[in-house]
Amino acid sequence: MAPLFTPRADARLRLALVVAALLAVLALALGYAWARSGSTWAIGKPTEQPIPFSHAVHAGQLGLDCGFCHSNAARGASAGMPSGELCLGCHQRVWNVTAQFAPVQAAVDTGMATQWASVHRLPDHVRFHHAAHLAAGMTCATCHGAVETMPRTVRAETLSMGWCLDCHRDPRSRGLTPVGLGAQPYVHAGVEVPPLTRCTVCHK
Amino acid sequence: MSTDTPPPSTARVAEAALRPLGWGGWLGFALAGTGVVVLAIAVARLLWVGIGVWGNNIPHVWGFDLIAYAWWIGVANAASLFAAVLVLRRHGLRTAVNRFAEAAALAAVLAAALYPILHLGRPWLFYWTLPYPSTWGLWPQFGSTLVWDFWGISAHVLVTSMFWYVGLIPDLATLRDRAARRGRIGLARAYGLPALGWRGSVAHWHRHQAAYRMVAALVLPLLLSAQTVVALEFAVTVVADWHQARLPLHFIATGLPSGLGIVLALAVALRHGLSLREFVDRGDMDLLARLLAAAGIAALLAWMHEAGTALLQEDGTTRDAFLVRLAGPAWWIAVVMSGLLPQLFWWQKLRRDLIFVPIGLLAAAGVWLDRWSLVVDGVSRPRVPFPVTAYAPSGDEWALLLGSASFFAFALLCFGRFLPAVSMFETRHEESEQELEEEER
Amino acid sequence: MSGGATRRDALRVMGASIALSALAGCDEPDEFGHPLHGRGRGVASEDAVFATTLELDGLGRGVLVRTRGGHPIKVEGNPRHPASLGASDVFLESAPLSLHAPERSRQALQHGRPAAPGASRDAFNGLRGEGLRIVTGPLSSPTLRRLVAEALAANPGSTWHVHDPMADPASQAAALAAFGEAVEVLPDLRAARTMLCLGADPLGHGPAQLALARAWQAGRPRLLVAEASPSLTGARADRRLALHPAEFEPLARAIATELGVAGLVAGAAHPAAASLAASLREAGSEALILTGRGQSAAVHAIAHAINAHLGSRALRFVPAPAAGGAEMAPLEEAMRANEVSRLLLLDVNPAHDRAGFAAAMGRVVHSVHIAERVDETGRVASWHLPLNHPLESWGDSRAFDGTPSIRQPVARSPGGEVMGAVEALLALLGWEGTGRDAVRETWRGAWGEGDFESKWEEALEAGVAGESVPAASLALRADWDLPGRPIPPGLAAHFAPDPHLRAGAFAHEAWLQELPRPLTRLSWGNAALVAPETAARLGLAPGDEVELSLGGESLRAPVLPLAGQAVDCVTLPLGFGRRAGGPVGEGRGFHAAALRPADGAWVVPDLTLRPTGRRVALIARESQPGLEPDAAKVIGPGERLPPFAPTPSLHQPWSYPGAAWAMAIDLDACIGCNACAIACQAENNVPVVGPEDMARGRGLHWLRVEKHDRPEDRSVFQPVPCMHCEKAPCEPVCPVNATLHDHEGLNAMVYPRCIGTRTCSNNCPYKVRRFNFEDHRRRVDTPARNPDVALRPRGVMEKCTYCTHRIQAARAEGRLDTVETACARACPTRAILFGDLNEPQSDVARARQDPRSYLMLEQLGTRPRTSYLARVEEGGA
Repeated sequence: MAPLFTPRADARLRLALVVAALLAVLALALGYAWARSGSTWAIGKPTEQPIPFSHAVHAGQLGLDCGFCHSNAARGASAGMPSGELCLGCHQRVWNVTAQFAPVQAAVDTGMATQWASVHRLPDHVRFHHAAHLAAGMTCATCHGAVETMPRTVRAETLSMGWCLDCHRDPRSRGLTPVGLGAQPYVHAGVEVPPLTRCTVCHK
Repeated sequence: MSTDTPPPSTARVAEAALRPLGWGGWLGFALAGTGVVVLAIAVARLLWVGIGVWGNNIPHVWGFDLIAYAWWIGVANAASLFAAVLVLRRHGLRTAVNRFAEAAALAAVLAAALYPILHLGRPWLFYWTLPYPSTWGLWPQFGSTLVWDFWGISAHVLVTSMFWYVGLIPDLATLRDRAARRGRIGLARAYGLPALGWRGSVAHWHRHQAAYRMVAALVLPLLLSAQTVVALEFAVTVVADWHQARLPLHFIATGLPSGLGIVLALAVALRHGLSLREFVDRGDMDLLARLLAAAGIAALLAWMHEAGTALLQEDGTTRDAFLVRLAGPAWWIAVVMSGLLPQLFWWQKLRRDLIFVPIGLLAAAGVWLDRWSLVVDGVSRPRVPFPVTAYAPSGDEWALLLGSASFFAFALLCFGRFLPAVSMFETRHEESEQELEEEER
Repeated sequence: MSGGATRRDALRVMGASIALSALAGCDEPDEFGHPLHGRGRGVASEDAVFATTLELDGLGRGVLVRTRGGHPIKVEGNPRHPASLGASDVFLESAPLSLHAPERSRQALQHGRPAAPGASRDAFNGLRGEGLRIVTGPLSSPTLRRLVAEALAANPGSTWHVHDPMADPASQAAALAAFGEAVEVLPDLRAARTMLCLGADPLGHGPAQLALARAWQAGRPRLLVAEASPSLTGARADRRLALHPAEFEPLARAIATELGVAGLVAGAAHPAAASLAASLREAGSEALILTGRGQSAAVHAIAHAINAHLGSRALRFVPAPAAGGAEMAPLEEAMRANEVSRLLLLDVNPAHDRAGFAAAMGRVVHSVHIAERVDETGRVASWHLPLNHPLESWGDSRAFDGTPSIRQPVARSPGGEVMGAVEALLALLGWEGTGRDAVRETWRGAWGEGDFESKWEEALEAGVAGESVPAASLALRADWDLPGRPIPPGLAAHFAPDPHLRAGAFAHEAWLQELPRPLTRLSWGNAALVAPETAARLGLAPGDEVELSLGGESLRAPVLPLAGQAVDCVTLPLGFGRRAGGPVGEGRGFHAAALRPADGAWVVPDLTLRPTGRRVALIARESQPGLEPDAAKVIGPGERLPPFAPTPSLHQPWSYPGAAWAMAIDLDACIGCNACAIACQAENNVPVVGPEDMARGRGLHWLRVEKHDRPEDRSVFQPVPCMHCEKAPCEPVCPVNATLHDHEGLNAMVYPRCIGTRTCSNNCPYKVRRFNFEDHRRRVDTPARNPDVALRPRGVMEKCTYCTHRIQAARAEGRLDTVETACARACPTRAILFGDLNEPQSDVARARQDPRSYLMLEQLGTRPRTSYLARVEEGGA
């Protein structure tokens, strides 16, 4: 009776088992890297906007302050988008390409807001307060990156929960001074818990 | 001993695995296969529509899902506990039944393993119970019994399948050789690969016995822990009727009749379905039936303990909660079907194949009702006033239950069809022992 | 219920079309209201609050409406308005929901078919001329009354009829007999020491409920209640009697005889009279008798006489703010006689409320129905024109005490042919101008030209446009008694408004349909309420169907035996059995109004009742008792409960360096009005699950109001939100850390982390956790949702959060000392207190020190942050 398996079959089986184990480890490693890669979080991917607005021109070349347009950032939860009147206030004099400003003009005429596509939209269950972050000493660039170099506004950071927590665990180590709630340390089971890592701080 | 020249008596066993299916086999496969399709549909609907297709509500947040889970684990545990004890004690009965007891245990564990994932509100996120480095910076709560449960069921699947597989290796080699002799090279290779180059040398046997007994020894504490983890899911809560330290013991003791009942019914099926009457003989069946009766006594003791502690303790809340369970029929039927009914097997006249099947299955079903009494009746009266709506299982839940039973049957049919249903090497071992004895005389 | 699946589909469809409705149309900018602060318009995510007015039974209640991006998302009471005092009820809270109802009319219909744009002009043209009949609801609005008068003057021979299914003709007749004037009694529950209610329900739902409940809580008079069917006032009574409707007049006469009231036609004695009379006599001028719907004119008149005899200082008389208008019966007769050719029905639905109206109305050649939805009347009318939601149009109103207020729009009108009630009358008159102009015109007339603008601005900002009407001083006439028409004994039909739907005006509100009624616990339907004795006599179980016959008419209805119901009295709740008006209300329950006689009587004798042998699946969310007693504790006056003794715990304690949020709920103040439950639903985007899932026990209300039975068939109501335990059992069992403790003591529920094992619900001894068995997000995601509260996907747990978003908002605005949860804000009796336990002077910290304070299931050692204050009852526990 001819042998069923060649003499090297045993070695092959062992090799196959080792390779399968290695592949499993590789898959896990790849998954780990993929979950953290910029492309997964749409970093650097521009979004279709109603108007080809350039932060590079406005914030970079013209040197406008962020608060000039996003005036609510220092006061409230949302940074606020500029009203159509604000846009047209300048653009009736400079760069008044009527076709480009049609969406803004329409918004002004109807009293509705211009429908910009959000680049940094957080999920529905997240509560984010711009003014609280600015009050703690953060700059716009911490989260939004160097918008003054962006001809098309793109995401600069993952905005993942882990990314937020990196800072929330120990804001002081980043030179930030938490105020109010974040400044109150508390202790549980003998361990000092960073107050800004509690769920209700960021979640609705 | 050489596997090349097997004693003729085991040929029938291997024959059962290698011969073409008869009409009965086809019918069994067709029925079980249909059930598996029903299971697939029920699972698909569950994933697509959600838990809403079930009859659950508040406070009956668990129903068929946890009943079936606890029950299948009980079946698996009792069956593999039985097999492991046989292996460790080198009991004569192991020849006959421990292979299919192991197979039944494995199939039951697989059926049970469906539920921890399917019962979730968002099953596709089950992996959040695993500790892995997520981008959220969050970890599971290691203090939760549901996390322990994950490790419990994983270890259970792993050990039960190892137990079954290690015992199977020599027989796989036999099948390989038989197939090769008939020139069915493809089949021989398929059996040969999992046989891991078994040649039956003394060194092989020596290591195999060591490994087999080691895994069997591993089964014992694991089974205790698996049942305990399931029991702890209930015992750690503030539900008045569940919050009892005796619950793990209760699960183990009352789980025994379910697994033994199923094994008993399966043994009858093997004897007649695969014509293996000589291998699973009357003595084996007698022994198994009396074991079931003894398990019934163990379960009865558990229930007496349950009733005693609940009714006599000072905490009136626990007593009232238990009285709510007594008001439902499930508890009483469980005691009768799983505890009292198997006691009939102490009478020799009643130990007959025709009676084994119904009583074995009823004993198993009784344990299912005990789990119903705990999971459903145990929460139907919260501590505070609440508008409780009775739990009414939906068609989807029945489909899932019957589907998982079909899956169990399907898996067993596959074992019976493609693998030796009775341990050939143990049988031969027994035969050679007998020959030795005769020679000595 | 049969046909359930299609209804559920309809609810789904409703959800889909809601989203579209938000995009449609806009109004002229100057037609928009003036927010108190913030810009209301245009910019998404911008907040604003408006003071405006919403009506119930034609009487105004001041509200503050919070809007986001131009959409009203929450209604709260206006503290400056006397009919609200900052509190709200189920009707106010649910107002924003109906703004986006998909069945709302958007275009004119002629004979049920869409009319050409602008054709509504023809509808009004056809109305002008001789013999015009105008039908409105009860009108307190000065502007509408002015314009109706103008319309009557412009069209000779025209008549104004008032259709008010909630009116009580007997009470009006008695006021005329006693004082010669149509006045209303305004009780002053602060000044009263003993109050006897004969069928009156001052704590029950109604246009004055919020003010009366607040005053009752402040004065806490001794409450003696005799009633035919359980009411919220009866539930709260110190003594309660269940009386057959026929017994009230003998009782009242016997009491008056005991007290020696002059001018009384003497009657037989009554066993309960002596002690009641003694209680009243003892209180003297601080005693008060109130009478309610279902009493004969004689009972009302006797009450007036007794109050006058005792010289009661606990009441005053005001002219009824919505008085006026002809009755409906003559109109019906005229229509049947083909004498009516021009008919305008403004925001009324008599075809549902009056049995024979639809048939008679079919004879009118030109009938114009103006309403928010095509209801039963709209289906019969030759024209149907769409009406604005009250939150979309200008108007004005008067409160129960006559206090006027302006109603300003806080949401955009859908536009097109949708018009407000004021605009509709302007169109009838053929006058130019907007609704706003007409309202300003009215008030310019009242205030004069001088400082009109400043008064106008002030009225819009305050939500109140003047003072209440001064009390009239009236003398009792000598011939006040009205004997002669007593109600005979025997099986009697007792019609009653549904606590949540009134006579049907709120049948389209899914929140109100679904929330279990305070006493019957019924959801998505009604039932004929019978006494347990009557049910036992006839062998009826809950849900058994009976055929009810009355005056030749008959209908089938399920019965519900209700403890406290008078023997031989069958209460038939109105508001159900709608055949039109939208998928939420259509086909639910039985149409009790079909049996009601044309004179609008509330009690009708000679009812016959025959079991049909069939059964109807009632959805009654009746609680079963808990395993542990004392969920709601009742103590005697002056009794003290032991202070909290914290049980030892293996769980590590938390430190609360900042605030420690807590809630205290006073069972002695709670009247069971359900305002908190609906306020919570509105605030937290709690989905409606529909009748099928309610029947299966899958309701999602975060805050449930439990009813505990007491002797004399009274009840203790207990709102049960999340207890926010310091040692929360739900937390350690969650495998994925989805429910966690917070640094301020909140038990947080993280929806996106939840995988739905439901273990936490098993481990919650208070059963306050709710599970999303289905995906309800699409149905909730309307412009009326609260954007500060996340929507929950299918398969996750949810529960009360102590309005954590309100806490965070207050923190951002630096006003943590004024945080209020939605339920606490709504409560008319301030039974729910919320605040910081670490602040010793906070209400909640002081409530914890109260000798009535206790924790639910304290023995479990969960250390709840929600504590209760025990109910106090004469005779004690």
